[in-house]
Amino acid sequence: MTFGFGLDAGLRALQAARYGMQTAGNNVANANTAGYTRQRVDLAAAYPFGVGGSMQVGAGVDIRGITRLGDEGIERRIQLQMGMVGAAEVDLSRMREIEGILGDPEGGLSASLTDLFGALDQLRTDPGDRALRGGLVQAGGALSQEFRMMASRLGDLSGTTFDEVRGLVRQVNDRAGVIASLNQQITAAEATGATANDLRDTRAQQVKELGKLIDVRALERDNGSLDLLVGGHQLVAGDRTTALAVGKDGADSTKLLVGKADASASLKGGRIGALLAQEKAGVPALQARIDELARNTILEWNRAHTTGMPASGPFRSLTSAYGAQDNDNDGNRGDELLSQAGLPFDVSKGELYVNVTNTTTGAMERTRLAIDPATMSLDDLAAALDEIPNLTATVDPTGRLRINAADGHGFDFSPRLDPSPDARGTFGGTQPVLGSGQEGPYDLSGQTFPLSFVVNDGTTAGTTSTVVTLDANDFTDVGNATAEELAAAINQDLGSNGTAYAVGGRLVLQGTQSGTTATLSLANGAGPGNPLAALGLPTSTASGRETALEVTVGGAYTGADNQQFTFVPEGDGTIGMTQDLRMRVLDKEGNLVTTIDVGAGYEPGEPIAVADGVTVAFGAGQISASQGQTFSVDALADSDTTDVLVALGLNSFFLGTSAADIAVNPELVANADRVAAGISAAAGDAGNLARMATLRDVDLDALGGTSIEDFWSDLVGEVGFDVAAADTTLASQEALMAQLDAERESISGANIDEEMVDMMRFQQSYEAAARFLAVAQEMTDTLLSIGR
Amino acid sequence: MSVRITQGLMFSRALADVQRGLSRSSILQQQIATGRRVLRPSDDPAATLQMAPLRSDIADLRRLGDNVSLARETLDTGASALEDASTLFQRVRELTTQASNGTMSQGDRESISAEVDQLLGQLVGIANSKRGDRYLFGGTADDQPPFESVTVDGRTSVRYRGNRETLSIDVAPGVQTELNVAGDRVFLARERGAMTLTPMPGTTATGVLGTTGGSTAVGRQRLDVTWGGLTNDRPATVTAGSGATTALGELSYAFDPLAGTLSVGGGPAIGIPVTDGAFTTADGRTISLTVTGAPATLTGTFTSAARLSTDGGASFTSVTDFSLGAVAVRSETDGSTAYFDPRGIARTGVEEVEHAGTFDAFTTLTTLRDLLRNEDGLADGEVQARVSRMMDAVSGAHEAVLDGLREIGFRSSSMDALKNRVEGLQLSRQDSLSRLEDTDITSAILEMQQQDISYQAALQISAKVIQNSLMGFLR
Repeated sequence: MTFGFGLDAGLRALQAARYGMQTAGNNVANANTAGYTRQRVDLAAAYPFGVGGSMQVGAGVDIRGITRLGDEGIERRIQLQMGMVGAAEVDLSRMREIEGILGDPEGGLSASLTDLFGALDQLRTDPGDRALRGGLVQAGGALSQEFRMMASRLGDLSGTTFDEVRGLVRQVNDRAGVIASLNQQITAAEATGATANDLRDTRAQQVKELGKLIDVRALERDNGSLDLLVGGHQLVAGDRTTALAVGKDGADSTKLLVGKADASASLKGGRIGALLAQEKAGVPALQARIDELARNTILEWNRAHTTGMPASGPFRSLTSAYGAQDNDNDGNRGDELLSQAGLPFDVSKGELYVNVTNTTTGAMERTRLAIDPATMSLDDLAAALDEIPNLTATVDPTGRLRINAADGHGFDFSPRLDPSPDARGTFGGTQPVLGSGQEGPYDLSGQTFPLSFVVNDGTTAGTTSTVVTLDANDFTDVGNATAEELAAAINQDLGSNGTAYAVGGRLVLQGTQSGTTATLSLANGAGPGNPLAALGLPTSTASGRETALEVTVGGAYTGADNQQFTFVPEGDGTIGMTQDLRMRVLDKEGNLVTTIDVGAGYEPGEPIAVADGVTVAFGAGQISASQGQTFSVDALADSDTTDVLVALGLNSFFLGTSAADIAVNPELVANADRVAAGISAAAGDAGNLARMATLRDVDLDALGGTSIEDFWSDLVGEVGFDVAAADTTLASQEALMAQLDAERESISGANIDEEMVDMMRFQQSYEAAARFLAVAQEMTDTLLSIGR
Repeated sequence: MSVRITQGLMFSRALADVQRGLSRSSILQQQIATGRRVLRPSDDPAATLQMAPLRSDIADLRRLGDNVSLARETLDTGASALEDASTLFQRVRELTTQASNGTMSQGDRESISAEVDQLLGQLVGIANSKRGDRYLFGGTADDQPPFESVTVDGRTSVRYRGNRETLSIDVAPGVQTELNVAGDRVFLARERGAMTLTPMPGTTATGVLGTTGGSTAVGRQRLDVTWGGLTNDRPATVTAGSGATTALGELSYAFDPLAGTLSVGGGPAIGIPVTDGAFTTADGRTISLTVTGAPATLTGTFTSAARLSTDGGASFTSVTDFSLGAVAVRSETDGSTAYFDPRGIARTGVEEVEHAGTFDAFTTLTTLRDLLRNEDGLADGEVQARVSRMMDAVSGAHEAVLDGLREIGFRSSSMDALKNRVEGLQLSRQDSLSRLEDTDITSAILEMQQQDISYQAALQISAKVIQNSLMGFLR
């Protein structure tokens, strides 16, 4: 620097101004470029050179480089925030779709439920009306369809996740590829020590966009390349990428694979993470609750319907809708225990009452079957049904139960009161009767077995004597010999010379002849002991009657539990005539329910209230306590406490087990008369509909203690809350995003005014530097002219 | 350091502000256009939860309103049927008064009888009234005519085939009403009183007495008391003859071994042995006996059995033990049972049995008709006396019909109040629902206008601010 008046410094000033200008221009040009970080020329005073002594003269400006005015922290936060926004967007759109599927508050399932109960109430006003019956079936069909449509649309929604994730994964892979190649370029460009500003901007933008799709972690290496991790697995490592792939896991839900590793579980944000979370939790949880609702609607509705009576009266034949599964693979479906037969609903331990009605006389015979699903197979059930007179039951090869009634008979499972409960005539029949004065079980432990007594059955003209012998092994416990055991043992010996019955837990013997000349008497046998006294049997001679005493039971039982009322006269006399002729009514435990007066003042045929809505009426005739006349009537609240009818689908209203397959029994659709409106066959009886209508207000434990309608409206309300919450979440995430954007803009954004000012500044400094060079030139010229 | 603002930021903020304004406007527009504030559950989840039960309440109340109308119509149909029945009984009353008039000839009575028969047919028709396909008076067995007229051996009886169950429907929350009155309570109402036996004209009392309670027979019956032969307590040489016999019950005999004669009941002695000997007691009763020889003891008693029949002999009850307080006699005709006290039976005969208080609507008419036909050939005075006695039965049957009418009428009139209540409830529910669900149009429109103004302002300000840049001033 021997010959310069700072030409050098001037040149550098010119250069600096030009770079400044270009940078400002670049900033202005990229003011609208997404992810662009404004750049600035880094200027510093050049290293001065000494002039001697302690003085140093500045050497002008030194251009250090062009730097990006970015904040890595904000960039990282933006990238995370984009993931949150992406997830919130997916959540909201999914919730909105679900909300749409559940239907608007006015229509949809809640309207269908209201319509169903409405159709039910309407049918109650005229249960015989065919159109109204059809209306109920149709309302059931509409509800089923609503359920099925919802199930299928929710299923579709779940199904689209896989395709959606696959599409997004393709985008992720594309971006990963771009980032890997940017890594390569940046590493190459910066190997010389320069900073590849624009490449870095592009890469940062790509990473942010990626963050919106998937939860990704970025790690910058020293050489400037950026590694990306998804769920702890490397997606991008330098210039190499590992492609993401989608697959299905065992539960048929979508999973995300990085190479071979499953990264589904550790994804938190991003669209893909949100989609996977929704698929795993959101939609299935909702589906499960809707299925639960459908299942319980089917169950509860059918519980009432299966034990009702169709308009056409008792059934001639029925085939179960569901069959037992051959779960032990022995080629036989009938031998599966009811608890393991794969039936759609659980069978519990309890009792089933089967009524067989003679269609000509209307006489009804009710049989109680004890059912224990843990020890009873479908074959056992069929056999038990088959044993009932005038009923045949078989299990067909598909595992379905078929029940047929004999000609002139019908069967049903209704809990109705038997209007003529004394069909055997142990109370008012024309055959002579001798019954025990006490209720079983009987204590025979003090007796010496074999125990015998003589039954003399016949007419005043002549009797047949039969010796009945009781052995100790006839009884499970001789101290508690039940009337049933006694009846069975006695009937074995009696053959056709009389019949023993267990009536309301009491032993009753009946002669074979009818009419006033018929007689029946008992005597102790030759052996030791006094069996008649032990059994409470009278030793008097009973006579038959010319005409039967009519007993009629009416009303509707309103009690909560299955009950049996046994009627025992307190004295002997004529109904309606004898003073204070009373009859005790006992419940199934033998406790006194009430005492009714059928003596003087009672008009034969008038109903007398017994208890819980049951009435009884006696015709003209005589009753006897001393001969042990008695009869009992079942008062049933639930004729199937086991749900076996529901599980097998016998006389069901709905078929199916979930929202996806609920449907109205096609037999009802084909013939609305099959709707079991009544408990009895009377055309105007809406008793069963009344039972079904109570379902509306019943809080079901299986539905978390809410009613069917409330469960649904709660569900819709919850989804509403969820959507509103998702909406709020998205809004706040977007607000956060906007905040971060503003912060970023504030640091990295290009302000055109600022750049204009910069441009003016650099223009002026360029002009100044040029001026300086001109002056320096003049000074040089001056110097040279001196030398001339 | 103050926050740097860039053009880009300003643009995006202005855009966001304008967007926000637009979306609020669009929501308001939708609310106004549909009239509903809650279109999706998420619009107001809390309101949605309250709306569901309200909606189902409203649907219920609407149906209850229909039920009230249905109940009212059904009850009114029943009431009008019973009014017809009441009118019919007024006519019966007139006819009864007319027929008990002394100047009636048998011909006149027969024409009245024909009218009564016609009225009986009408009454069965009324009792079998229908509304639509449903019989009104059959309980829940409403698909078949509840009353069936059966004629056996020229005797008409009407049987009830319905039941006593009630058809009740909901008419207001927690309120039910019965649509029907069981027909047997209206048309077959009875309050059994004492039983009276009157010997048929021209016959002597048999000595049979009535009993109280226990019987199911209604109206009037004819009791034939006939001879049932001798019981085993007779002397071995005495058997029943085939001649006419009127003496029943325990009879004493006296044998006179010297004269070889036998007398029964202190009557004239007849020589034995005798075949079909007509013995007469001191009180004029006869008995036909075949006596083959001397009885073992000179004096003693034997029992002449009786047969009681209320169905003209189709079936009978034998009485051999005259100490029993009551014997049941069943009628094959209508299946009813009547108990008689046989302790005082002395002779055969025919008694007319009247079961007081058991004249139901149908029995009254059939009895009246048969009485006026006078097939038993009673004297005019006797017929009139009996017809006038029937007046009580007519009134009783009429009263039962009126009772039924009052009951139905009361229920029907209470439907008006219920209808108002149900409608009031429905309105109030509707109101609550509307407050939750419907757009408040006034405030929505006001807000819409406000929104419009803000939107305009945002646009203007944005346009102004965005225009401003250094460039503008440098030009």
